[in-house]
Amino acid sequence: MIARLYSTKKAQLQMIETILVLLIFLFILIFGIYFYYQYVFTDIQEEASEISEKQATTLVSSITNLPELSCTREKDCIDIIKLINFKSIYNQNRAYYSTLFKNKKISIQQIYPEIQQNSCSFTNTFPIQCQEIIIHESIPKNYKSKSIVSLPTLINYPNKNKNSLGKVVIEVYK
Amino acid sequence: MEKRGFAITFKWIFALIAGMIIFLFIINFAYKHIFISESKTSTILLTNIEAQLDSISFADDFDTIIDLNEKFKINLNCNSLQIANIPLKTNKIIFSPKTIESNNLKIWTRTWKYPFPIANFYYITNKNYYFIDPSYELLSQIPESFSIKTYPDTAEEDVEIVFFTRPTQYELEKYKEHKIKIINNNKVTFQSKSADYFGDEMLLGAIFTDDIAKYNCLKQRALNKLKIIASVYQKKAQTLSQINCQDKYQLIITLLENFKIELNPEAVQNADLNLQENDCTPLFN
Repeated sequence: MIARLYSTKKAQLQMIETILVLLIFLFILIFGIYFYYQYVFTDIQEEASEISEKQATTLVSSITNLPELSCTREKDCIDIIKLINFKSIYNQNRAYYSTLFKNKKISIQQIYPEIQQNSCSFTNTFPIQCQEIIIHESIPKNYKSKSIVSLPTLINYPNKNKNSLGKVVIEVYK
Repeated sequence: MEKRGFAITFKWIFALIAGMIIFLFIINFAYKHIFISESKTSTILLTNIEAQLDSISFADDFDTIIDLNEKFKINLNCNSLQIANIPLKTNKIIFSPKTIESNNLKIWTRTWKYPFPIANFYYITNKNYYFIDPSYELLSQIPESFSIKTYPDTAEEDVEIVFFTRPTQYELEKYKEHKIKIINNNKVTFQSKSADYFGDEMLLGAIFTDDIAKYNCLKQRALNKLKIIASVYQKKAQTLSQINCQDKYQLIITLLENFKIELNPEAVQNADLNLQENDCTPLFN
């Protein structure tokens, strides 16, 4: 009887041993997969970040050639009259421009000749007295990082037939 | 029954079931990994194509070839690009066949001016075209990389025939095995359905698109953009009229308002040239 009891307990112990080995193996497997996926997702996030910066760089050069803002005769030039009227166009087509510009702040700043006043959201009075005109602003509530891309541009005053020096600034939020 | 023998059998069954579960788990992981890798490759490729299109977005009359390194099947829909069920929304106006399977993309951009610059059109194709009676003016605009021939060889397959005059019954019969487009009276006929076009740039778009529904969708997007740009020039005219030449801008403001409904580019162009002649700042000349 003792031998039978001993045999039963031995079998049970072996069963428990097998189950424990399997469980430990599964835990190691799950941890391995978890850490592998963490690596893959980090890699994808880095790719996404690189792509986002490339897009911002391309956008900054294409802003000055948007038909809504660009000068008619020159390339890489912004028409000041189109710029100051852009607000109403933007509001009428908000969905289109939100999809085009996404989570960014895009502004046009005049560098020379200098203008004393600071930033304007928009104005449609002319002549303008704003050093910076913000044409799009969509900042997510919880962003992790911000990168800034800028490019010099001409700002044309068509009524005076003169140009001033400015820059397009894009702040990208991730 | 001997418990010993039964215990061994039970062990084997248990090992088989446990092993099967682990095996299925690993297979599932492998499939998910393959899916993630394919999705990542497709997304990166689509984003790179979009970035390359962005980089030539301000070029007028520019053609290039994008090398994809290996053969891919790309679906070019009206509002999106798609590779292997991964879509990427695009706001670009791309005239192309619905599907291109190739290891490179031939791209050509033109600025649609009607009469002022409105949007950049992209033309992408991998097909061969035969033009019958085209005007030299139109033919000379198309880059050499786009295989356009004017002497059809019906032995060649996968060729689209484009008639620039009304074809005869004999010609229709001769080319019945091929896809045909007919350009006549400011309309393009895709097999049996017709659509309007506005300007040479849109005509070229109709030629390089193989589906009338897609062409109509792209045309509508272009016309929506035209309304936006017409509004931009209207507001520019209103602002300029406050500075100088108050009365002279009224005509072009009215024409631009009507332009959103009925396209008359010559009238708008003439009104703008008229401003220049009257020493007023023109809008787009």
